[in-house]
Amino acid sequence: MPISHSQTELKLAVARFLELSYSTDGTTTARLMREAGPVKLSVDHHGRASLDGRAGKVTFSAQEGLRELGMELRMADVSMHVDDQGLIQFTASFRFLRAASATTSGSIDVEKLITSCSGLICTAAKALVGAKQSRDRQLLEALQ
Amino acid sequence: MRRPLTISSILITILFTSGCASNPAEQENAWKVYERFRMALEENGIEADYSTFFTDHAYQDIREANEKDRPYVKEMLAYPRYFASTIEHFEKNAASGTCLTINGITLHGDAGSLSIEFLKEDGQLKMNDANLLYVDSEASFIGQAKCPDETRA
Repeated sequence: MPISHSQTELKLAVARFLELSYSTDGTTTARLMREAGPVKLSVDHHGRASLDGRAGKVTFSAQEGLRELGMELRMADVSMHVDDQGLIQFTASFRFLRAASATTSGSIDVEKLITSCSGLICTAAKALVGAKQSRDRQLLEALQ
Repeated sequence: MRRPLTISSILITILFTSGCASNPAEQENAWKVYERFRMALEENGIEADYSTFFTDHAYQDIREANEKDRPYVKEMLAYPRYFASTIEHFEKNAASGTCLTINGITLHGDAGSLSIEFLKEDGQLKMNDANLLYVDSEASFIGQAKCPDETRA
């Protein structure tokens, strides 16, 4: 049984963290995602997370996303850089144990991410059976 | 008369020593430990005690895990089980010990370079840390040995 998390799961976790940040403070998250420059996302072993950049800082809980992905984390660090085309280039490191971690890189289309799951329509969709798969698909479309 | 002999002795010693250091068989120590671990996993399964392959620091997570979490923790430390197939490996001596990088395809079908740090503990090389770096394709594999810290964000 493969227990190590796949590359897709790790990328999905990054998108989910951003989504949770957006649902906590949409204004600051959107500003952070749209303003070119470095942005840092950190998650500790209690699931406490922060998104920090020149445009501001959002603190939020990543517990829900971790639970959905079946991921037990000691910590996660994501270094992101928003370019002037609106693409977030990121490198994410996830530490699962003292001696087990994984790293992946990729890019996220900011507009697609922000419109993938926000507002009342998404909240209603979350209540529907099977909405998680639909949301995962939307998030994956924003990932490259 | 004594001086030329002494210089010759030093030169011979240097040549002999460097000859030993460049012998590939002498540089595969971490790979041999990894292979022994892989074979032990195949023979004895995930439930066996593999503490001799890990430093105290690395094995602490298994000792601390409750019954519910232990299978997850053991699987995460069973590095050879990450791969469906391995393609190549590289090894280097580092300041802290030895680092081994293995390129392969994971059970999920992703291309990944696994870097493992080995430290000497109780006179033996033991696994202390590991990082699986996912890459876009086999063309992007790490082409040299790297320590886990060198492959993180």
